Amino acid sequence: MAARTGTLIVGEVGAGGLRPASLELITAAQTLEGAISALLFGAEIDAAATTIAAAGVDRVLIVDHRDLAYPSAEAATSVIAHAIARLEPAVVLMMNTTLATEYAPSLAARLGVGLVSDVFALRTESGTIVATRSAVGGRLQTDVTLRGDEVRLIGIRAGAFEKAAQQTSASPIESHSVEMSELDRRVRVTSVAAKQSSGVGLESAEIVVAGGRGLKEKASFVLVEQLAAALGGAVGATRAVTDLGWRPHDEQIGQTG
Amino acid sequence: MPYSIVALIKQAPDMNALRVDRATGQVQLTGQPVISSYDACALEAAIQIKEAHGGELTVISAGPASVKDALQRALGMGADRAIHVRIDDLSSIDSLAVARLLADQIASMPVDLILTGQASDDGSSGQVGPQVAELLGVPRVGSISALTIEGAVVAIERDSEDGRQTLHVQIPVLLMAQSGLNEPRYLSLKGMMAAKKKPLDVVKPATVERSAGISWGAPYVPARTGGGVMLHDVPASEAATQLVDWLKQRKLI
Repeated sequence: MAARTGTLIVGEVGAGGLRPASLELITAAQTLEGAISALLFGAEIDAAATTIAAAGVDRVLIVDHRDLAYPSAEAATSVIAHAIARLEPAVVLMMNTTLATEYAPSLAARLGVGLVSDVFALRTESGTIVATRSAVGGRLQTDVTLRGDEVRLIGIRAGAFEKAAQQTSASPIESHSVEMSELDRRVRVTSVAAKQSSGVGLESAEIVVAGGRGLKEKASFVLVEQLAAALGGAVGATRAVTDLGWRPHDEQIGQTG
Repeated sequence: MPYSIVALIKQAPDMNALRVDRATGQVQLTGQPVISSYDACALEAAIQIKEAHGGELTVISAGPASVKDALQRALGMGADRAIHVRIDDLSSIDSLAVARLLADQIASMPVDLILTGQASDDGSSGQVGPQVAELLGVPRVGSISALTIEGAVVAIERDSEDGRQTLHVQIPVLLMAQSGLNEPRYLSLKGMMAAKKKPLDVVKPATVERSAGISWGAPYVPARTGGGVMLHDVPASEAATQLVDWLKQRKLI
């Protein structure tokens, strides 16, 4: 068998199109060796595929199917496993979205390989990859070394890398179909209540105005909202606040967020 | 209808009682280890389901001798039986190896619901839950902040990047709790006494495999990224002026 080469990045498409952190994976992949391929899956994802194809990758694989509009972790795992079998990458970079925190470990179990999650720095040292992540509840950090012939799975923390810029040339886009199993269809998303917020998402915000328990009550967050709106930023909250139900969990910031 | 429920918990250091010496990188634990916070919410949810619908709740944990305390506590809170998968040094194996050991225990029992936390307080890798589900071939749903069960269908709510999602899934399923799911109950004296009469089995795995090719370096102290500025006892208008000046100086606005 030929040796595995290059990096596969697994982007995601959400309600607003390509999730911006997908572009951060490209920058992370540029710190590694070899060609960069991108995988996108979902329903009606042509526009997102066009964006990622022009962001400095060598090829794009898409799996576009109406059953993948809100994919289950199982379905996502099947799609990524299919792409890995096809491309034989040395490294796979994934995000830390709600869905990715389910499919990345699942993929590791399906393939019987390790996964290093929530990585915020990467470097290559004579063929081995050194990935940095938090340890001891975020108080310390640790360098994890990945070597060997198996595919190496790494989860990347949102915001740790810059977003890759759009370029004048674009890579080819290949469409694939993947057989879904009965298991892949068992979790159904039956509704999504769109956010009522100002419209600036935390993951793509240039400015974040964050509040903690010091605000004393849920109603005080109106001050944070007003300041965020005035600055054109997003609202963030500490874990204590999201745990109390004052703010939704996806506004949580910090090392436990 | 009654359910066969499994709660997977990890014993972790009490993060509020943990001090890091920034000069040496040494970690000092001043408190007793606890049930990791997300796992405590998963356990509480499991107990509530059992109380509302009936059934049996088995709590399983992998780790050294001290894990017995966490399992006793879980029995005292309301679990019916406990399994301790004895691993003297959890840090010597990886998430997938732990998941295999836990899945081996569950594979031989009837199970409708498996509950665990979104991630542990110490390692925070969040891998074991999805991996147990994958190994058992059951669906998995994480980041759960509300949960109801009726017959064979579980209705779940969670916050996602696109907004609040509602999901439906048939049992058997593995569910991962966000910390805001509920407020875990305190251990009562009555519960503590009852726990002593409940079965707690210790299992010693013969072989423990860990993933080849991944090696973990010793934890170290991250470089400081700069301190904050506190505005104390300043009138609101004065504080606002100082804040705006501070943001302007740094060209943040």
